[in-house]
Amino acid sequence: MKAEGAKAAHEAIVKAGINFIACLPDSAFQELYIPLSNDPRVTYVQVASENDGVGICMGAWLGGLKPALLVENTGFTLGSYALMRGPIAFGVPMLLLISHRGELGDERWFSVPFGWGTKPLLESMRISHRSIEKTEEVQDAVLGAAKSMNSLQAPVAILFSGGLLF
Amino acid sequence: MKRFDCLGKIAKAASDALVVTSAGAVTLEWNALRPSDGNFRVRTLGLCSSIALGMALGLPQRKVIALDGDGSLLMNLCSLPTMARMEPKNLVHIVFDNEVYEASGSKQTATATGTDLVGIARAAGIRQALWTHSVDEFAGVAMEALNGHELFFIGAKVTTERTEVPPYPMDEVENKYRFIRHVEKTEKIAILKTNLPSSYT
Repeated sequence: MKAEGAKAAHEAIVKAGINFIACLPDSAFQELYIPLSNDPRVTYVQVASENDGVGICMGAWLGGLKPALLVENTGFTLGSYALMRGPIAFGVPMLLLISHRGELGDERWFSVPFGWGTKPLLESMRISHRSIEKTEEVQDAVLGAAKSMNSLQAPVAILFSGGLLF
Repeated sequence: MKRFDCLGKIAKAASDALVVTSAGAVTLEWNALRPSDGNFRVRTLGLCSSIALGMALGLPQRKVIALDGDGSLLMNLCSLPTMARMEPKNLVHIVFDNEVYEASGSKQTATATGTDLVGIARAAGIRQALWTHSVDEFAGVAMEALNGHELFFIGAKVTTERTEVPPYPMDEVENKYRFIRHVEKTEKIAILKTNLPSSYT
């Protein structure tokens, strides 16, 4: 992720009141998750599976925190079971911050199936989402999503795409 | 050893602990023994341990109990290293291992052929991980865990016998709202806030 976008995302996450992050280290999000993991304003939980991360975020919300899951879109697909069985079924808010790999221009050709599948999967799960590509879009997207997840009582997603990643 | 008898031994001692239950009859049996809005029913395999961990991290001053099953935990073994790593001192993870997928036809799980869930928990880094072999032994270890300040993982090999109890009286959404209101009231915090459009205020 480009440094400027990562810095904007970090600031927006804190400004939005997100105080709990579950993350599976993702190469595209290195510039974001490493500083977040050292930020005392958020509880950072490194998970071994995105499925586990969804459950942990759900528990954190039930415990009064405002959670976000920080994952690559490959891991988002893995977490779809937990999302449907957990926060979608119960109506539990959480912010899904997803690096959208595999779009046109991404040198990681092996991520292309996830580039194809991520948005249709979000739509089929009725998860409200917004795709952003520019640093200037970051703050508005994060603050808006954090507000909407509360109004909707549901997970909402931001896809970090194209120019923000590479 | 019957699961219902084990649960009966801790129902009173659980006091105001928040309790996350897995899929299957354990939820119904627990709710019959300790009916409370502080009970949260997951109703699926795999997520009980994760949700309980997140809850314990969110409310470090509150005891959280996960009532899990072997089939459920086998689906989510990767939660154990995370639990060990975060080491919430207010979490008690209890696994009733009846060696079958009880709710879906009672086919054997891997624990019937040698998989040792307590061994896995210990190898994952949970220091207080132990098997209990009788109702009294279970009660003793569970009391130590409930009264202590340390992450516990307690395994209990139980029979497949179910106890006839009433059905769970609500769906997921009602369970969420009642649970959250219970947490808000007992912790004196606000979790649910409605965003009203500015024209409404």
